[in-house]
Amino acid sequence: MNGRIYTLAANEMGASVIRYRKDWFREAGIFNEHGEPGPRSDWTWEDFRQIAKKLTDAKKGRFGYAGQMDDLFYNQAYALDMYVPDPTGRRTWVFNDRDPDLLRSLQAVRAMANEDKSVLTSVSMGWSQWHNEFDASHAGMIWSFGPHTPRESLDAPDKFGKDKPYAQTVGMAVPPHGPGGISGLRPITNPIGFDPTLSPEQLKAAFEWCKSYFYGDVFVNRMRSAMTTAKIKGQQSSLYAELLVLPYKPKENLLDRPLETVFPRDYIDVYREIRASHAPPLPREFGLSEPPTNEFGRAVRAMYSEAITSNVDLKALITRTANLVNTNLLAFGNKQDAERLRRYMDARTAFYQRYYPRFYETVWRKKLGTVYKVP
Amino acid sequence: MALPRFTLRYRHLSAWLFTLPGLLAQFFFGWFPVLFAFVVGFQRYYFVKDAEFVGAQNFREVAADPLILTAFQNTLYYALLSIGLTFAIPIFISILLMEMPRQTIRWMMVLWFIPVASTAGIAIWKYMYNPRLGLLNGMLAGLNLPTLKWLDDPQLAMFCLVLPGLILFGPGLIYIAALQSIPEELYEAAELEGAGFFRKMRVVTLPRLRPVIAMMLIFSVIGSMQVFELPFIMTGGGPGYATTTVVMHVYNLAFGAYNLGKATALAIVLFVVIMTLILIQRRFFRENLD
Repeated sequence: MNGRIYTLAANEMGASVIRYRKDWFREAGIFNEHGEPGPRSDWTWEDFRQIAKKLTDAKKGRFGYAGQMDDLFYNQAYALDMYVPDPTGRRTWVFNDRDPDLLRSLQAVRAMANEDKSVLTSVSMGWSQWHNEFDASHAGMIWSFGPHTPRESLDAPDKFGKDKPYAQTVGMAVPPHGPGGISGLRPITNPIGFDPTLSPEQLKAAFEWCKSYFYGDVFVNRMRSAMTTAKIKGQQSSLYAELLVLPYKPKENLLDRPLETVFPRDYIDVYREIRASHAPPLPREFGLSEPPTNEFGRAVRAMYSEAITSNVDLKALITRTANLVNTNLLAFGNKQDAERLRRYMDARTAFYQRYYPRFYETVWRKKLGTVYKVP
Repeated sequence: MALPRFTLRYRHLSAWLFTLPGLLAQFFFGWFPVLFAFVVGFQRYYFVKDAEFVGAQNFREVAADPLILTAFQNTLYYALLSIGLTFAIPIFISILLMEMPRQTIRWMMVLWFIPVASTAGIAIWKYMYNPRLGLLNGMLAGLNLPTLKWLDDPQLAMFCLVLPGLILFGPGLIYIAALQSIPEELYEAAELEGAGFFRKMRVVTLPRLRPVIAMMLIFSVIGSMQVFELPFIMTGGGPGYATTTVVMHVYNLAFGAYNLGKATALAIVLFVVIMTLILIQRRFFRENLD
């Protein structure tokens, strides 16, 4: 616009969060520190498991949690790195099969699915299906994306019936904390780029449409300020010129109202926590190559889904996955990597000391000389 | 009368010109990718910079890949199940259909063909297999039978992938068309000699169907060894790697791990396996009973 290229921070609230049924929590007598139905802000994955168990009621067709069988407890739960420095120095990384928390996470997943029976899952279940299960009152908790819950509360306030206003029925919480109180939040801020060859009028229309699409009318002011933050720096952009063909018809102008008057406390709390969260250093910032994300994720998810659907020995499963990943995806490295790994680990140590001192003391320091040993 | 040389030349030229667009399309979209695959299979291939020649390194990586054996086992298992169910059963059903009145045959063909025309069928099956809300478990529960986990059961998942093929793949229509072309007199002659249903099937129907069966078997082997879309849509290769087939692994290597060289090497290995199977098959069907 006016000779400049603008981008939009697509995900001001861009982080995976837990969406939950407040009415079920109330029925089960689970309240947070404010006395409202919901999990405590410092809840852990063990709390999550116990809550899921409490919310499950087979007679009513209720499950504590619905989701893809291979996402649950996947590294967030135990703050696991799935690949760690190769201590022999032969390659950059090796699969993290030395960490005892990996075995614990697999055991927990298996127990939730097969013993507690608190998880509604299937190999064919995808994002839309577990959201549908939630909307159909079959699940008390699901993974969801930060902005979606507040937006639905505006777009579909009567989704659960006129007597159950959305914001009073559906809550939002940050994911449970890992060991040492480490946060499960992983903010994502992909900026949306606009085609610079468009006319100013077209750019403005695209910009307005995206504001509505990603934030409703509510987050525009916050989003504008986010545009100036460093969060959008260095991220890839995508073109949304085609969005111009879609009409932009805001339902209600909520721009001038404070967020606190529009949303319940739990939404605001999550929003604030995401804004205040910090992302740990990434290997690529230190010149280290990483395995292809999709394929690596597939291997890890296959391990979790096999743990749930079969009686395979979990230690053997970890060994098999390590063999597969080390051979197919981690067979690379170069001479400079030892020094890079050292700098990367130092940066992480500094990060945890500063932002997560309890995690640093109770978890990171112990693993640094064992699981995260640098050649 | 012999045509003048000029006219002959013109005819040859115009024939080539008319054929040229088809030949070019066949070359660029048919033969060239196959030939190019044999180049890429020996390269470390990058999307953004020049490829490097690496000799047989990609094939060595394929041999060392711990998932290869599983992928081939899954593919062969699928092929055996698929050929057993979707190849043999339609032959028998087609022969039985031919015993019905002509009007019934027509209606049965229409009914058979409707699901074949729907590619969305695969996605529908995914929901039919849903352990809690799916039609199949609904029916089992209605009959007071124990429900199954279907796609979520590693032992059952591959069978579940084959089942839609029985309905969605329509070789039965081709058999019916072939059966209708068998002269009625052959059956009458067999009947005069006292042949019953099974004897007629053995001495008239099956020998007459043999060329069609041979062709369909080749298609079945090629199709089932290259199965991709069914596991890709319905299970994503899971649970674990229970339904990961060779072509799925090729796809994952190429577009998940971005290792085009290794993916192409694996595709070449699969090509060789399929060609070997077809050559064996052709040897088996070489004898012409006609």
